[in-house]
Amino acid sequence: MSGPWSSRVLKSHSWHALLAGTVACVVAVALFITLANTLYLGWHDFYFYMTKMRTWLSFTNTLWTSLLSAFLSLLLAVPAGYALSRHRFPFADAVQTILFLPVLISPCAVGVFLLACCRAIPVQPLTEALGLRLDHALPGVILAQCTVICSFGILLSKTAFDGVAGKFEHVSHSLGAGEAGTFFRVVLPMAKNGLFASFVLMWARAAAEWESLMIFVGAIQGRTDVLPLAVYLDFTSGRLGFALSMSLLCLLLAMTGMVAVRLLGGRHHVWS
Amino acid sequence: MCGREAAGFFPTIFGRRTWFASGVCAFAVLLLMAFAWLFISGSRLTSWEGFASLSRQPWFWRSVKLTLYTALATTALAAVLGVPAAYALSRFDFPGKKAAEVVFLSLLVLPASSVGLMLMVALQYPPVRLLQDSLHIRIVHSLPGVVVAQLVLALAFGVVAWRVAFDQIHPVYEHVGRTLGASSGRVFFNLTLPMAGKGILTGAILAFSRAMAEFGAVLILCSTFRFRDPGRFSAVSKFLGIDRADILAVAMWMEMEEGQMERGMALAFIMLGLTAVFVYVLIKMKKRAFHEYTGS
Repeated sequence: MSGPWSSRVLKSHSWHALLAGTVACVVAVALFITLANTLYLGWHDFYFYMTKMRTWLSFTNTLWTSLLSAFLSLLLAVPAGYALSRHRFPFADAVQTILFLPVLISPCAVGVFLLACCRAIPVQPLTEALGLRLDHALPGVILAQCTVICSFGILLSKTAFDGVAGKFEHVSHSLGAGEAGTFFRVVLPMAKNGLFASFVLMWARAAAEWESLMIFVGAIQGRTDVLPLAVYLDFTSGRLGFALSMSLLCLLLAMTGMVAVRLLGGRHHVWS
Repeated sequence: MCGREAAGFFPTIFGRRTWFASGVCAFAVLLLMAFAWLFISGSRLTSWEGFASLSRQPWFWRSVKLTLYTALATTALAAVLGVPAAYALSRFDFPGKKAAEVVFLSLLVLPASSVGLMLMVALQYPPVRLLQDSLHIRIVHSLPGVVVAQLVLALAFGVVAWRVAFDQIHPVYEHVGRTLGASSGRVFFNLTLPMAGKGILTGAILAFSRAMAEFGAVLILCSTFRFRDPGRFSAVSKFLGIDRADILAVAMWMEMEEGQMERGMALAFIMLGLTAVFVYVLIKMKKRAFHEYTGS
């Protein structure tokens, strides 16, 4: 017997087996699907497509765009999450509804809205003045990723800050520390693991984003094709080998990220 | 609003007019304005005529029904699989538990295109193909396939929420139930499930909205149905009135691809409205759960 949640009283064998069986069932199906894909592709082909330049171009594009957007979004989302966790906003429910909408809305709809927004007032003149091109270019990819994971990040960092009891700040204030000092020396270190886990989740979510890219950025091979988008493009153009090896690569990325989240052990709730 | 403010350390942002508090809130307000403008500026691409023309499309109401039915079926399946799984993950230690947790988590962040493609290959793999042939069913490119494609993400979102719901119930209640002579199953159904009711509902709403929003996996696994030969739909789907229709997300993409911006944008606003209702309900439920928990 280990862990506070398991106990001999709860242990009735058939019931235990039934419940663990559902977990085993889902894991077995997931394993079967992965195995079927690997066998279908074959080791030889996997190796062949892995040595192709295109695969690695997509891979590096995915990696740096998603890391950059996760970093940018974290910078925006952590203060916003702290504000939502500690301060009382007027119309708080409506404010949170708008801030958390992009987590749950179809990413495809996010793409449609971004398409409209980029022709509207503040974005259009701004990008023109900066000489930045959003459609059919990587800055657009980063913008689309940021939109989705910013909202995700606010939710995750709010949860991380909710897990730090307010009494610590109270003590810190009563000992004479300022608000900024308290935040950086008390709250941030306490929420550290949760925030690291949020970062990894945001990064993995950014690396999986493609529906909004398809509508908003447009798919140009060799220019905007991050891995998930390249999977779709290659699937529709019949290059199944590329598509399959890239989707296995996506799976590896996702698994790596989630092992990191599990090791960090932050409260990785999507909604709580 | 979460409980920290209820404790009264930061009553309002105006109560403590420090630079730091204002700066932190400025981030939230900035992001709020950005998201609000993102959604408002969408109205430039559509008009009431867009909504009217959408509702006149013969496929539109069938699509609404199809989205509703498939999302409901997906949620039901996800609950049947996910609630016991979440309970097991929350309460028991078993070999390979950590690996199982990683699998459930990574479903959350798998790209939908990858999910669709991998499901496609696995469902066409010889043993599975033979099984489908012998049962005279076909999942790829059919309406049941929509449910299969939606299930992956819906299950991932649901299990996370359900696990939190069970984690919040102290097992001492179950111990008491067991010592009073109830079986493990009876304790689960008569005690744990009712106590976790709100959390289960939260997970179900999450799973439903995620199923409704799913696009990529459905597009790859099932393609589109709107222009397909009517003879290829089963009698059941015709009876339910969901034949020759696409789920709303796929329909929106098709409208955008065909250059029907007004109708595509109108569909985007419909999905936005539905999701906003779900998010608002989730926030309200969480707030009430917190107040019940603290007795405030």
